[in-house]
Amino acid sequence: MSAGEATGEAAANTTASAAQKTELSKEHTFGTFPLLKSERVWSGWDFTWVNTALAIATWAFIVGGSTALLVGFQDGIAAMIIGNAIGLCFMVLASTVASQRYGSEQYTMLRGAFGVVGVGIIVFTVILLTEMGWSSLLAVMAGRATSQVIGTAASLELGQYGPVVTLGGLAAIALAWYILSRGPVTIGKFNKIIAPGLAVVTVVMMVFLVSNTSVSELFAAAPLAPFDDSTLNFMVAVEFNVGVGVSWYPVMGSLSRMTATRKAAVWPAYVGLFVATLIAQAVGLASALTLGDSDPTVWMVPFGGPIIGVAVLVFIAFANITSMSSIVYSTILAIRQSSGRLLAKVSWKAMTAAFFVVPAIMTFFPQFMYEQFMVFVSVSGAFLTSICGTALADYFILRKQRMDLRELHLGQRGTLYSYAGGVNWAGLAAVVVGTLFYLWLYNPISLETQPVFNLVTASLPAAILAAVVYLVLMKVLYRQRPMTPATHKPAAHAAADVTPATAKDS
Amino acid sequence: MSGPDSKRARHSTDSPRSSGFTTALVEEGVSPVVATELDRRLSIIEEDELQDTTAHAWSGRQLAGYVGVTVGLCLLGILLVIL
Repeated sequence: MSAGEATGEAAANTTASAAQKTELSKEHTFGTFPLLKSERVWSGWDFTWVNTALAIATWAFIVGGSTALLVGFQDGIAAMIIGNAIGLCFMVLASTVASQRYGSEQYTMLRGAFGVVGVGIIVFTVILLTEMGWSSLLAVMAGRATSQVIGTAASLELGQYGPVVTLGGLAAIALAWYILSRGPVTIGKFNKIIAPGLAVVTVVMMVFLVSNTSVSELFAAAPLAPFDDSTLNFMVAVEFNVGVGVSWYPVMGSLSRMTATRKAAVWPAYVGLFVATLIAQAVGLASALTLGDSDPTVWMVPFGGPIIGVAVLVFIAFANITSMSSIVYSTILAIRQSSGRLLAKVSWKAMTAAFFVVPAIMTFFPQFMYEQFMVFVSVSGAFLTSICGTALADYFILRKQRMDLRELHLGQRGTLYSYAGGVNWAGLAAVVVGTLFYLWLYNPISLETQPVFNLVTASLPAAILAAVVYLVLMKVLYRQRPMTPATHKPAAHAAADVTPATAKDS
Repeated sequence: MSGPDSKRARHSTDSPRSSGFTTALVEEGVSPVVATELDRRLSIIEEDELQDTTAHAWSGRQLAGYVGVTVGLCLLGILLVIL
C-alpha cells in the first residue's frame, strides 16, 4: 500500500470512527441504551430535588384549589395525605423498581406486559394524551403569570383568560421547546436552580397567605362547591388526589433509572413527591378557601406588591417552562422507544416540536383547560391506575421480579416477550377492564358513583381488578410459555435459538 | 470506557449469545455500532446484577414495609378527619 493510500484509509477510518461516536452519543442521549452502574449518578438527595422541582410546579396549587371545591381545610389535608399516599404507593412501585434495577427506561420494561406493539399503543394513546394535557395546563398557567406581570407593569386590567394568556402560553411553549432541544443536561441545570427556588417561593406564598388571612378563618372556611353528601365529597377529594399521585407514572421510570441504588430511587420518589406535593397543594387549598382562587397568578401581586409579587410570578412562569421540558423529555423518549424504527430518522427537535402542536392549540382555550382540570386528572388516572396494576402483576407476580434484558431488547425476535402481532392482548384487555371498572365506580364526567365508591374509592379496586384480569388471561392465553428467564443459562437466550412468536403461543 | 468495564465488555461480547443478539438486532435494522454497544452494556449489567446484592429482587418483608408506610399515612389521614 502506498503512503497516500495509507493516509487515505486512515482518514476514512477517522471519519467512520467520528460518525460512529456521534451515532453512539445520540443514541446514548436520546435512545434506548440501558445505563451502566457507573452512569447512574443520582444520589437519594439528587433525586429528591428532581422530584421536588416536578411536584412544586404550579399544577399542585390548582390541585389544592380543586380539592377546596369539595372539602374544607382539615378534611382537604386528610384527603391529600390519603390520596397521594395510595396513588404514589403503586405508581412508584410500578415505575421505579424495575427501571432502577436494570438501568432501563420503563417502557422497555413493559414489553412483557403489553408486547412491543402494545407498548406503542399505550404510549401513543394514554401516555401521549396525558402528557399533552399536563403540558397544555402548564403553558396556560405560565401564560396567566405572564399576563398578570404585564398587567401590573403596564397598569392594565387584563382578563384571566384573555389573548395575553394565550400569547404568554405560546411563548412558554417556544421556550420549553428551546430548552428541550438542548438536551437533558440543560434541563438538569435548570432544575438545580428551579427546585430550591420553588421551595422558597412556596414558603413565601404561604407567609403572604397566612399574614393576609387568619388561621381560624382558614379552618372555618366552607368548601366552595360541595355535593350534599359529605362522605361523597371526601371520597371524591381522595380519589382526585389518588389520580394526582398516579399521574407521575409516565415520567418516573425514566428518571429513576438515573439513580445509583434502589434506596435512592424508591424513597425519594415516594417521600419527595409526597411531601413537596402536599406543601404546594396545601397553599392552593388554603388560598382557594380563603381568597376564592387557588391560582397564585391571581392573588400574588395584590398581596406581594408589584415587586415581590411580580418576581414570584416570573419565577413561577419559568418553573412551569422547566416542568414542561422535563415531562416532555421523558414522553419523547418513550415515543422514540416504542415506535421502533418508524421514527428513528425523525430528528429530536422535530419530534419535540410536533409534540407541542396540541398544547399550543389548547392555549387558545385557557378557560376550558382550567374548568376541565378535575375531569382530566380523573380520566387519565383511570387509565394510569389500570396500567400500574397490570405492570405490577407482570413484574412482581408473573415474572417473579426477574426480567431478561436481552429478550426485552430483542422484542419480537426473542422468546419471552414476543407476542403475535407484537401485542399482548392480556395486558391491553386488563387495562380496558380496569379503566371501565373505574368509570363505573366513579364517572368523573357525569359525577355518578356506585355506593361502594364511598368505601374504597375507584383507583385501588381498578388497579387490583386490572392485575387479576391480567394474571388470569396470561394463564389462559399463554399457559405453555415460560414467564421467567431460565436460571441455569443466564446468558443463553441468544437470537439463535428463538422461534417466531406465533409458533409458541398456545 | 473505564478499565474494569472495558475488560468485562471484551470478555462478554465474545460469547455466542452476544453474537446472536447483535446479529438479530442488525437484521432488525439497528446499526451495527449501536447493536454492539447495546450488547456490551447488557453484558455488564447482567454481570453487575449477579454480584450486587442491593440490586436483587425485593423480599416479602421489604414489600410489606413499603406498603406499611402507605397504610400508616392513610391512618394518619383518617385520624385527621376524626379529630
